[in-house]
Amino acid sequence: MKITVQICSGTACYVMGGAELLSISEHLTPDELEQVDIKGIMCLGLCENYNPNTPYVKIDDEIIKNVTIETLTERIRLAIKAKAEK
Amino acid sequence: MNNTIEVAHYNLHKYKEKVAGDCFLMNKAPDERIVATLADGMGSGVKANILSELTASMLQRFMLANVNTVRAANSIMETLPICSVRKVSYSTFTSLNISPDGVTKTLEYDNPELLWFRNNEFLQITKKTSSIETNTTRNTTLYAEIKLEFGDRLIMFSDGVTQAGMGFSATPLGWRINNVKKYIKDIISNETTISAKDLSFNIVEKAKEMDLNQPKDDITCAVVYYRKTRELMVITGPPGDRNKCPYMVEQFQQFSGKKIVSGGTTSKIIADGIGADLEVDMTDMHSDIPPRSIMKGAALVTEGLLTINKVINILDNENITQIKDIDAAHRMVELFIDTDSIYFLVGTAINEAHQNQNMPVEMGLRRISINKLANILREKYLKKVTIEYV
Repeated sequence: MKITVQICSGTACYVMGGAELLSISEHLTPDELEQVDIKGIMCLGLCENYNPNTPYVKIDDEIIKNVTIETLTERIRLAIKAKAEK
Repeated sequence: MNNTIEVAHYNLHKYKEKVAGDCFLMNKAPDERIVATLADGMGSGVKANILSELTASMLQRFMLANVNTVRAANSIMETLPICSVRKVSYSTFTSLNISPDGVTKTLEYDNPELLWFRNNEFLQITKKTSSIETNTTRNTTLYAEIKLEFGDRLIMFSDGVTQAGMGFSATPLGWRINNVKKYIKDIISNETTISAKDLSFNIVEKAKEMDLNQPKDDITCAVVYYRKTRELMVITGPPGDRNKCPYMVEQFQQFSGKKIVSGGTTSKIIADGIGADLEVDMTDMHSDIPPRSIMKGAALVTEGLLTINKVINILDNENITQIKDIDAAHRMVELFIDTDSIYFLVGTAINEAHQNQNMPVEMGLRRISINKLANILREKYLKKVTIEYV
């Protein structure tokens, strides 16, 4: 089973940095890409308050807040490592 | 009424002329009749322009008032100014008075024959003649009443089309009506639902090509396409009262035309309601707006306000005949342009996150954006628009 990465492309996430996150595959090695399934998602439904922690990404069942391309790359690598150690 | 009379024309001036000698006018009467006239003034340039404009304007007035066709023609013959060179009063014309039920009165005077196209064939129009003696000459007009069916087209053009290429060795007598008909038949059989705009453009461009790209005369073509109304639904925004979600889903399912869903939460509501998969198209990457998504039953699924605000900007400012960059907003624009009647189902829930001061773009309220969009579609693109808020 691959690791599922769902990047929120809803309005609030997209304008707060989600647009850049959609290009995450350019930041991963071919080996890493083999192990993840990167998808966009219309909206994770997490931003419905005045001060949300957008953008959001969901890696398998875990929600990550205020994601940047650096933190996302790091979190994906950690997830790959954790899976390998299982 | 479930039918639409789509009319469009395209025109080129005679080479090096700054003013059109042909004139095409179209108006909609309060009773929904469409009245259209193509007039070709004698000669070219300013004099031809005045003759054709005058003729077309008078005919339009008569037709709008539903004056008897023959009487209208006779009045015009008697009143047109007389050409000082040729001593005749002269502007040829083709005029149509089309009722929403398809009944069409035609009136022709010396233009190339009006063409009636149905099911890949040209139909014969049974015409009556009416003659009138004017001060200078005897003029004969042709008139008829026909009944259009869905899918029918009427095609009219000035002699700049039929005479295109005249004098060249390949076409010593010009393009000629039978060859024009063959060309039209080929185009329509390749693209059976070609729009009036594209067909008229195609015919005129071909005529220009036959004149080696330097038109020897004004070239004009107008096309009427009588067809079923194309309907489009846009669902955007979650309902103010979440208990209304099933109503939105039901409206989506019952609508028979094309459907757009715009908004992240909205598309989830619909996808869950109809039990469809919703998948972001990761190949549709453009910097300023999010990618579209794919969902069974919807012609287009997009993000909400960023996309809609961009659509407003495109419809207001861009030349929509030359769409090159196909992002979700341009896809939405294409669907709007290709539609006659648009029904917006707008949810009134406000996403507080959009009102956050830290947002790098001003998002505004959905209701305001939709109203602006509806006004542009109505006023600039003559679409029929209805809005329902839930």
